Amino acid sequence: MTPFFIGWSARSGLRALGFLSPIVVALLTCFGALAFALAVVSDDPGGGDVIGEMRIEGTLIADPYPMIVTDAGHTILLSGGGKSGIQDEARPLDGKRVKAFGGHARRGDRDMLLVYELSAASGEGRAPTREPLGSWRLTGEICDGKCVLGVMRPGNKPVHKACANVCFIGGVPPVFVATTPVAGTRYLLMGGPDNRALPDAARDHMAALRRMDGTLERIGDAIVFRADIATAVVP
Amino acid sequence: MPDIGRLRKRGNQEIVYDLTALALIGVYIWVFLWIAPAFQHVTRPLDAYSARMNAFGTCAFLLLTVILSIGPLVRLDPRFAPLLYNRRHLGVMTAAVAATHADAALDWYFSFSPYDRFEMLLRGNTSFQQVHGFPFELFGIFAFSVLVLLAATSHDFWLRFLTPRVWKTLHMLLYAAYASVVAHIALGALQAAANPLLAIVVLACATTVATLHIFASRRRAETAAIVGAWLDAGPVDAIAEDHGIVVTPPKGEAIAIFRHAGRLSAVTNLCAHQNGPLGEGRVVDGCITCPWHGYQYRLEDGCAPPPFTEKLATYRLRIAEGRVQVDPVANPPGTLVEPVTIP
Repeated sequence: MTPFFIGWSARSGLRALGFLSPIVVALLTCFGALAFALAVVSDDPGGGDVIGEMRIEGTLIADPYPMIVTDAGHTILLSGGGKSGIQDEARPLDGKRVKAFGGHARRGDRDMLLVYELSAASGEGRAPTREPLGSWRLTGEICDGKCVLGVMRPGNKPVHKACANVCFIGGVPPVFVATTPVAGTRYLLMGGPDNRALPDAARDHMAALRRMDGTLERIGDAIVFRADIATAVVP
Repeated sequence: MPDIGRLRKRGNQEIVYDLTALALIGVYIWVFLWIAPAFQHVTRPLDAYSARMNAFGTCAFLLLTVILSIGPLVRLDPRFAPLLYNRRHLGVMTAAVAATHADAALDWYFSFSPYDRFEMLLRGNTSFQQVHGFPFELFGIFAFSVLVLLAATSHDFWLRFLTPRVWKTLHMLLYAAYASVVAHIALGALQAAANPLLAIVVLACATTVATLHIFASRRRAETAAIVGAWLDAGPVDAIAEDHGIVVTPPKGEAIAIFRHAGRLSAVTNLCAHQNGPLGEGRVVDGCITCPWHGYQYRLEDGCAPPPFTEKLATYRLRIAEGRVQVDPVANPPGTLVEPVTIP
């Protein structure tokens, strides 16, 4: 006869122990094994770290997103702390010579400064070299610039979409990661067609493979992709 | 005389159950956060936030799988009944584990911005028109809300306040929460997973839950044949001593018929406590005893023995040509119906 368990009965509790003990042990073992296996194969999006600190001086360009072009012609994107940009601080210094200090993020030869201090420097700002590269139709992924330039690794795909949008809403410069190199790089700084920040509609296309039209311009040693978000489609 | 141990002997059983559940959670989190990292590939050392998010998220999913498997397992094999006895405790623990996962996600993905993290949780992704890129966080919010609601209403006070029928209907939301968690994982973590293991685990768990429910549902009684105004419940000999059978009328609730000391009695199949399946219970100490939590009722009037006050609807029975017949019209709860003597 099948034993009948009654929770409040001490007798039936003991009877149940015989059947359930090996099941509980198996369940504990199964949970432990699954924890181990799932932890070992987990993908790590990165710990939000920078590679160090950096002090730079150069000419500030406020649009489409703040950047500094050094006297050597190296273009460094600027962002604020956390998930915020520094548009408000950069705007009054547009075209002026500035000095800045902050955290240093880097992927490949592309640098970003997470600005702790930004102020005008002595001397005149120099207009950076600009080279229009014409109209392009590019395929790639719009990513949060801070994550893709080294703070995370690289912080893409839909699981990070909301996080990337939080950065975008906060003003962190977006970066277009092209599927194949364009003018020598896969990492393109982004902006809207009017050289302003990308419109809010870009959020629907964040962290997913898209094809879109736009124009390219080399500013210093960086390529800026002024994308027409209205043309964005799934390739 | 029925045992009133229901009042005084629950402590030990609950402590053992809770310690076992805590051990399950403890082992999982301990291995995930403290043992496995030493074995991760050198290029993939999981950061603290992601580790916490993954550990507690997957743990909550596995616990939900266990919780939803217990019901059909008990139906298929009553020896699993002890797992069901304090299932609500496991549910409350699962809500706490899920809260830790949600807190880690909020702390990492939605914080450090100039805006409130809860505002960012709702505004961060509004691409509802997309499948690839759909705001999977919403599925997580829904599932977590359900878990919190169920944990908050898990106490017997809410069971009495809402009535067992409403309470049980409310707690059936757990199935919607489970489906929502599967969607949360499928549209979120699985979209970026380089290794197929998580997908395999999620698929295996969901398939297990679905399969167990399909097998358990096949054990439900078929609708009984009507003989005039009575329902045919089958031969008398089909009911074992101190056991019950379940009869399903074309309309209305299922009826449980019990045999004890050469007599037959019929009550509703729904326990007054949590609507547990009384017909799968036994007669213990002369009382119908629910297989879920041991609630007891007298055979003749469906009343719980004093000091308890629960009452069940009773039914009239008769025996004709060796077959049991039951009047499908329920008597008001607690109505005395003299048990029918088996000739």
